[in-house]
Formats: sequence, structure tokens, C-alpha cells
Amino acid sequence: MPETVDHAYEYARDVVGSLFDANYYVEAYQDIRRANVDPLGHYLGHGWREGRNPSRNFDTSYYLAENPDVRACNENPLVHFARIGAAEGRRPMRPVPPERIQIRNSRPPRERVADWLRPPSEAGPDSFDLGRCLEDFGVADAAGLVLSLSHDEYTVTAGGVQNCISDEAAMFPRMGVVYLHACPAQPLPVLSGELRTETFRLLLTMNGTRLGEVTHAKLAAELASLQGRFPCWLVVHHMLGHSPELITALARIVGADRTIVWTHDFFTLCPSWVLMRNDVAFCSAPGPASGACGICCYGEERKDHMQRMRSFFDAVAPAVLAPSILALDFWRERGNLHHSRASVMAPCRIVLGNHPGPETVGGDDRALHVAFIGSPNYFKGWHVFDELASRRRGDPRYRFYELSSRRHSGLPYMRHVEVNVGPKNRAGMVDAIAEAAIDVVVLWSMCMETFSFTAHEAVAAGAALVTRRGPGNIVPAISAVAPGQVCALEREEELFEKFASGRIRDLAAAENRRRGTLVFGGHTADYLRSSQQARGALANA
Amino acid sequence: MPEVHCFTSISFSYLDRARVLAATLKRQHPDWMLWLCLSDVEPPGMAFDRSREPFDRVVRIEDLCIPDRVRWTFGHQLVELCTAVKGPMLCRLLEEGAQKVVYLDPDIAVFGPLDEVVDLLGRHAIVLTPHQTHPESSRIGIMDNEIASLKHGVYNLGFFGLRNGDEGRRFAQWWRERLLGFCYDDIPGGLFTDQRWCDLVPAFFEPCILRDPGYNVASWNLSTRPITFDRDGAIRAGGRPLRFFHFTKLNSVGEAMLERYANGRSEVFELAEWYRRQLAAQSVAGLAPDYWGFALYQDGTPIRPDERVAYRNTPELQERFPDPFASGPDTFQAWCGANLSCGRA
Repeated sequence: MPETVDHAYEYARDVVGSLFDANYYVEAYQDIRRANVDPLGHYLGHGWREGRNPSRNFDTSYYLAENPDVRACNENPLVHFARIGAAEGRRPMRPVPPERIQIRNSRPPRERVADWLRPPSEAGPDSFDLGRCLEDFGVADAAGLVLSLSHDEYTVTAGGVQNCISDEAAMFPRMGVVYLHACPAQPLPVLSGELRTETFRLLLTMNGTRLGEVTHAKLAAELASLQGRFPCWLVVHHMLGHSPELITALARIVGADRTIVWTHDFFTLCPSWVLMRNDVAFCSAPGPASGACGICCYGEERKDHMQRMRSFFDAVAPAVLAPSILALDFWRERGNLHHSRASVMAPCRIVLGNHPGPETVGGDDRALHVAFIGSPNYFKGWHVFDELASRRRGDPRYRFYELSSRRHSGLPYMRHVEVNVGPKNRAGMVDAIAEAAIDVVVLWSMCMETFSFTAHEAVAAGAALVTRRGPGNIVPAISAVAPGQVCALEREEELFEKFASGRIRDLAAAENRRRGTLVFGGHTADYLRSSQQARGALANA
Repeated sequence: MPEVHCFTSISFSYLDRARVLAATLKRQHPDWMLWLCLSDVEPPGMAFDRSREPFDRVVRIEDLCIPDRVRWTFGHQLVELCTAVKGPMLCRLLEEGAQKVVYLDPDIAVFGPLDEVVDLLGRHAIVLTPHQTHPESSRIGIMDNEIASLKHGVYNLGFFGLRNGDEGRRFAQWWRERLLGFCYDDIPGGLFTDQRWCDLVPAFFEPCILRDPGYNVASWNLSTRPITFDRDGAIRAGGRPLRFFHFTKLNSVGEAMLERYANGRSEVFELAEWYRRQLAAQSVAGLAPDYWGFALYQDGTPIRPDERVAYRNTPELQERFPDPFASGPDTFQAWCGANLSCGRA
């Protein structure tokens, strides 16, 4: 106990509570232990001025260095943090760099398999009559059938690939084509090792209606029975959780010339479909025997992965569709995988109108509305936006927003707007950006974006886009449509400086920005309509 | 007989590291003969099955013809002992007819071919790598790295290369004798195991100083050798292909030093995380952390460093207590309890 118990001491003790760790204090500072004084009393009186830390989780010197206002008012930094600093989002210690956290958390994908396992369905596979279902869905009158494969249920999970599938799932029936979608009944973070056609289970959805589970054997038999009645196509949107060998068997049934593989991402090149070495840095897909793959958590898995992919492409030689020319060129150069032809099918395009951007609504003196949109994760550069918002915390020139399906940041200076983009709400993000009058979207993507819906959404909503000058599609795609609305920077410090100096307002100026809309494509449906061979087959049917 | 013989030196607590070294070395040089020098005895319940280990040959300390081995062993702490045996082990390989010998510390992982070392050994008897090859520019770098080299030795003896010839054998004999007599961690006394001795090598012999930044990269030279990856996946250090990385004390002070000299880059931490994964995969079943067969007296009491120093510095004690590990009355252990100021209660 202190020699003199005064009110200031009692107040401070009550405020800091468990943030002060007396055991840590006497362990870390043996002179305090030897002096046999009250540890908290020492910290409140002298310790903080001597740069001592009150616990493992609070860095006195860092807090004072980062917060000049606390330094100026000579307040005990821990008391300030407990009283108001934590609620204001001030940091108690230097954060571990996000790159280090990514590296520390990286794991070989095989080790994540257990996290993905789910109990088998009660009904089990083949509990319904697939042939009957096909008849019920009008297969007798159909002009054709598309068997579409991806990694999960597009009607349940939201995401770029799922939305593309939703779009074409709506489009094909209008063309008289039955759209049968199959995903692994047991999702996996890797390719499946299951090669037995009687055991591999798929979850089927037909024209948007969930049917249930079938074995690969059953699906293959039904597909074979339809041959000759009308043309069938096999469209592979994603192979995650699938066995390429079993997909090869399906391709042999429909015919290699009717097999189409999408490269929405780079899973055909590496189990890390974003090509992020150790989940931290874009790797450019070097050879699997390279030093980089040797030390990457995906490297071991990649050897077998690439062998199986190569066998698949060699056997099938499919048509390949990519969402951008950049993605296609990269995939061709780095993968060198056998394919019969290749096309670019952009999933959507921006049509700009003459509406001004949102800033004119509030005038020049309004705080600039700055947003992060989409999934708040490292790959999308959330950590950079988070750092920017933290640095400009309390700056009246800016107001920071997070537009996402669920709140990620608990920070008081970040406003969250819930946005769910799905098949019925494809323009949900565009509308939300416009409604929140967002002036600037920061999209510091760490990976190579093959398309970037979020960049398109930001610009269509009339916001200016600040992005990293990376290898992806963002800058080329947006520059082609709205060059005045995008700013690409090399380094994070440049980004922070643009906001510190206020020069970001030049980019965000209303005269540079126009509101527009996104026009979504029909993806594989558009491709088949543009393909002479497919048109002919459909006409004959 | 293979042209190149490579050896490392461990106690069982470093067996996981030695396995990683072996796996990475064999990937680059499957034709090299890899020797493991082992200064330890198995703990009860641990089976060391040589046939399941990735080493071509295993030599135990008792096979090295070290005079008065038990007393000599007692005079050394763990690192001192595993270092001191490097001299006798080198001579043993030369006697067996090895033409080129490369030593690698067990906490090294090899990332690229070491052909340049083999070539250099065609022209030079001894190849050494300095801790640093470029001056530091910061005060803290000078203190951490350059002054550390002045204390611990200019050359890092986690690596050396040697050719079996007159000059090479002359070095090996000299080094063996020094290490048998003076391989101690005694910086105030001018010694740091085997390393300070090699500061004399350029005066006594004509070594080749290998300055390529890809060799022997570690926290102590990382500031001038940033790790990078190029587009084709090659790992580079200071712009040159990375040959081997020395993961010194990775789970203790080494990590802090990597952080200090990574200059905000994260690539080196990818190497460190990979290395941790490899160690986990190569962990040794049935081995307690920090186990060492020569750490304890017969009754299980740990042997203190000052007791080892007293024994090795006092010939009378060595004569009076020929088995210093023994417990009970009239043993060195009992003598320590009665005579050393920090003696046990």
C-alpha cells in the first residue's frame, strides 16, 4: 500500500483497474521489488516518467510518443488510456505489423482441412431421382444443358464467383438451357484426393433450386444418358474441393470441345488461388521447384496440385475464359497449361452518366467521406485503410466508413454500413456507396486482382478510387473508363501523405467524378451466344 | 568416395535442426557424404535409430580419441563441447581420406547449391565467411554487429571449408589442439569457443575469405543483405542467390535481431516461419526440452557453469576426482557444495 492514500491515487487505481499488472511490474523492475514499495504508487508517481511499462500490454513510451496531446497535458498515459484513449481507438502499444501476423498465421492448406469438415447429410447421396428431376425441369423441351461446377453453393454464399454463377444461372433457362450446378458436398481448402466415382459426393442445384446430393457416378451416368438428345456443356468455375480426374471424366462425356474453364482466380496455378506466398506477398506463380515455393506454406501442396492440373488440361484442352486480358495473359504465361482457345469475358462494365459525384451535395467544407468496401481482409488491403483511418483519427477533414456485410472494425472513428450484395441485389454496393455519399474508396489490394468488382462498384457509384500500383486489373480497367477517377500509388506512405496534406481532395474534386451504373454480363451464357459452334448446336436442338 | 564430406556437430537437443540441415543439404548435394558428430547420450526411453536418420555417418564423442575424455567433457558447457569436438572431428575426416570438408552448423538451412565453395577448395586450402562483409551505418548496428564480431570473432564458424592437403592439415592440427585446450565462452579472457581462434587464421595460413552475400546470411549481417524474392521465385540475399541461412537462436534473441535488421521488410520472417515449420516436422520424440546427457551429476543435480570452470582450471581437482559426474561422499559434487561460494544449501 502507498504510504499516503490520497484521492488521486484511489481515482487512478479505480480507473486503470486490471490494466496495471503489479506482478509484471516487480518482475520486470527488480529495483522496485527490492525497494519494497507499492508498485502502482511507484508507476503513478515516477515510473511512467522513467519510461517503465505498467504491464506487458502497455508501452508507456510508445503511447506518449504517439499522442502529443497526452504528453502536453502531462497526464499519466495509462490513466489517459483507461479513461478515454481506449474508447477513442488509441493504441496501447506498437501494433505487430500485419505482414508478420499474416506470416505467423499461415499454414499449409492440408492443415486447414479439419476446419472445413462437416458431417455428412442425413439424406445421403442419391436419395432422389436425378433423371426424374431433369424431366420435371423440362429437359424434354430443353435446347441444351450446362453442368456448372464450383466450390460452394452459389445460392447460399455471396462473392464474386458466386454472383457470376447466379447471373448465368438466371440467363441460361431464358435461352432454353437447363442449368445444373454441382459443388462438392464436402467443401475443402484444397483439391480433393477422392478419386472414386461412387464415393465422391456433389451437391446439385438446378435452375436455382437445390436438389440434394448425388454421387459422381450417378451424375456421370445421367449426363451420359442425355448425350444425343441435346448439346451439353461442362463449365468449370472453380475446382476447389473437386478432383480434376473426376472432372476429366465428365469432360469426356460432354466432349472436350464443350468444356469451358474459368480463371476467376489462379487456383489452376496454385492452391493459393490469390497467389500470395505465405499469405503475405504476391508471388507471380514461379515454378513449383523454385526457392519461393520451397519456403511457402502452399509449396508442398502445389507440387501435386500442379501435376493434377496439368494432367487435366492435357487431357481435356478446354476453352478458357478469363475476366480480364491481364488475367488471361498472366495465366497463359505462368501456367503454360494446354487449352484449345481462350477468351476474355468481363463480368460487368461501368456505364458512366452525367450525374456529378457526391461531394457537391455538401459543399467544399464538408468532411471527405472515405470508405473501405467489401471483405475487410489483408489481401484487400484492409490493414492499410485501418492504418490510414487511425492516423487521421480526429481529423475533421475526413470521415471513415466501412461498407461490408458485417462490421469488422470496432473502432469508434469508423462508421459501418451493412451491405449485402447478392443475386437480387447486384447493385447493392453501388447504391450504398452513393447513399453514404462516399467521395473516396481506398482499395489497397495486396494480390493481383483478376477483375475487381469492388473497383468497378466504387467508380460506378461516383467515388474516386485510390489504389496500390500493383500487377492487377484495377488500374487498367478503371483508367480505360474513368481515368480522372483513379489514383495509383506505389507506397503506403504516399497514401498517408496525400491525406495528411489534404491533397487527396484534388482527386476527390467533384468535377473529376461522375456517377454511373454497372451492367452485368451473362458470363458463360454470353460466351456461348458469341460462339458460332455453340449457336449452331443450340439451333439444331 | 565422395568428393565432399560435410559434417555438423550437435547434442540431441539440436537433432531437429540437424535433420532440417540434412534435408536441405541433400536436396542440393545428394552426392555429399553427411556426417553427424554427436556429443550426448540418449535419455532413458529415447531410441536413436541411425538407420532412420538422414545422416550418412554418425560419430559419437567417444569415437574421437579425445585424451582423458570424461574429465575433458566435464570442463565444457553444452555449446563449448559441441564446438570443441569440431577440431577432432575435422582431423578424423582428413585421416579417413576426405578430400574436401565442409562444416555447417546444425541451425543452418541450405537454399542453393554450394558449388562455388567446392570450386574455391580446388584453389584454396581454407574457406571462411566473415560475420559482416560491409561496414554498418548505424550506431546500434555497430554495437550489435561490428563490436559483437570484435568480441566473438570476425569469422562465423558456423561454416568453413577445408581441402585435404599440407596447408589444410596444418590448420586442422593447430585448430584441434587449440580447441582441445581452449574452447571456452570466455570473452573477457579473449576466447569465444572456436571463433576467436580463427581471427588468427589469415596470419597463420592463407584462407580464402568468401564475401558473397548469399553465404551464411544471419541476423548479424541482415542489415546489408536484405532477403528478396524475384519473379521466378529465386530467393536472394543482398541481391545474390541465397545459399544458406543461419537461423541462430531463432526462438530467443535471434528473432528480435531479425526484427531490428529487417528494415521493415517481411521476407526474412517467411524464412523464419518456414524454418519453424520444418523444426516442428522434425521434432524428436521422447526428448525433454534442453536435454543434454552431460548436464547433470549422477544424482540428477544440474552441474553449474562455475563448477565446470573450477574443475577445468584446477589440475588438483581433476586428479582427486577422476569421475567428476559422480555423486555421493568424497566426490567433486560434494567438494563443490563445501567449497564454492555459490555452493548448494
